Amino acid sequence: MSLRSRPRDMSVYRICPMRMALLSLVFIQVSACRPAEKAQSFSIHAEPSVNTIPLNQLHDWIVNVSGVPDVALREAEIQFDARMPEHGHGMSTSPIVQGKDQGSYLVRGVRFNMPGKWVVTVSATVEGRSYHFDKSFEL
Amino acid sequence: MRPVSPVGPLCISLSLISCSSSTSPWSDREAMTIASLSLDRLETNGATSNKYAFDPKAAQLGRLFFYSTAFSSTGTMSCATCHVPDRNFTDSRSTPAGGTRNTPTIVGAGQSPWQFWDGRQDSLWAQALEPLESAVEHNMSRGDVVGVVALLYRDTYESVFGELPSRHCFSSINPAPGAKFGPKDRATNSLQGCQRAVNGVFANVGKAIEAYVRSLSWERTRFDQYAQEVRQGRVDSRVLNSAEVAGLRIFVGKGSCVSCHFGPLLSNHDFHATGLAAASGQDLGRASAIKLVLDNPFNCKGLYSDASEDACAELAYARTDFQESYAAFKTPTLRGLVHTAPYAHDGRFQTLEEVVRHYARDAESDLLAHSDVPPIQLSNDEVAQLVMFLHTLDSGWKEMRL
Repeated sequence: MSLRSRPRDMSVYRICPMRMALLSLVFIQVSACRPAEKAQSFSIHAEPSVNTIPLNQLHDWIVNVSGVPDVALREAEIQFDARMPEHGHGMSTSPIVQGKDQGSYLVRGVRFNMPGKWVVTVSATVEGRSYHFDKSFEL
Repeated sequence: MRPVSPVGPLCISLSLISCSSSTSPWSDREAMTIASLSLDRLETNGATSNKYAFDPKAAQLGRLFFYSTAFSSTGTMSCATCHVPDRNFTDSRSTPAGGTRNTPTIVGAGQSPWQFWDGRQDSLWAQALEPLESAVEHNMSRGDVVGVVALLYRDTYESVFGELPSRHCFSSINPAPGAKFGPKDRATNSLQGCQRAVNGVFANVGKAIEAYVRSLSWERTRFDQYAQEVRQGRVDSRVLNSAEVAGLRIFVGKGSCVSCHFGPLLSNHDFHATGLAAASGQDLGRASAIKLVLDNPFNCKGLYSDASEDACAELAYARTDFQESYAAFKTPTLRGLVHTAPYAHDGRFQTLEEVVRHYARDAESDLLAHSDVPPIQLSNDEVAQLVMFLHTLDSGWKEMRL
């Protein structure tokens, strides 16, 4: 259920040449100061903590964020939401996200109160950028 | 790879066609859904905040409380005044005198994590307390209630819950049945050192009533028999007639009724806006109840609860969003529904046909202005079939032997 996450703000892709040159200088500077790291892309992975998603029962989800330095993860904001697009409403609960240090989060208090199509959205705000993960499924 | 004989797949195909023409009229998914609605599938949920909820002695005492008119300032009102047993514990009125909400049935109510149409209480015992103090219902103070218990039910009460508090905590009241009580002392706050003790007895009265209400259950219906036969794969069931089966097909299919009315009690016990906001005026439904239940001293996390705080998951994760809760009301059970008219939170629908036609309006209607319900298109025949099916859910109730 892992998806490559995309920045919500598409303007990050529109970088002028001058800015690109400055960023390159910054990158070279940082590279010079840090040991070489294997490049890892940012991703969000979310899945229920149970094998089968239950109808109308409280359960937990697990969210994993990777590709971000630990120091940035400590400041990351994770939000979990789910909606029924065909009905125009969301869950009957307000889930609580727990855990921060290792990029692994426990989302407690999830409940899907109707059968049908649901879309789960996990948003991660890391270092000022927002990423989101969508997952739709039929319950 | 081993070559596949063309005869094999052909045989399988013919076999499937043959089977499908002689098997259930329901798909596997439909059959599973229908079976899941059967009363036979009902699993009693826990009552985490009331350790007496399944105590037979508490239920016996709760029965006495439920039918007693001594717990009212006029000596004329009991719980059964509005929750009339012959009407499946409803009162046949759109709204009771002085009230703005229709009286719902209490049979099976213990299965819901939320009580009242807006869920402003999170347990049956806390629900039972509110009418006792309501000025338009029992109109009692908590001290009044303790006084009645001490005068009329002391021995039985103490055998279940332990010793009553000292008499000085409620000596200022006249608990004689039928007597006019003094000015309301709602929380008995003025009685120094007694508040917690009086509140504890008050809570126990509610817990006993919950134990009694939990002893009530629905009788099996014709639908339950049909659901059992569907589950067993019977294709020749005559339990429901063809119109009722057609209505059931709408219920689990194009009508989408089963989206909210599912499970053995035909309710998800949750809150939905169903296009009833316009006529509800200032009734905000669930939106106005969230703070009430979170702040209530008699909730699952309160002093008088028997639950540990981490067992109160419903409260911990309760949705607090106002917009989604606006004019949302709890999905009512459909069991015993012929005897629970009128319908909806404000009792605006006198018949089941009116209810069905409310949902079967076209997409241009104001139903969509604020509603969780997508438009449903039904012909007049389909409306009639759906109503006929709903009648198969009707039943009386039974009381566990106490």
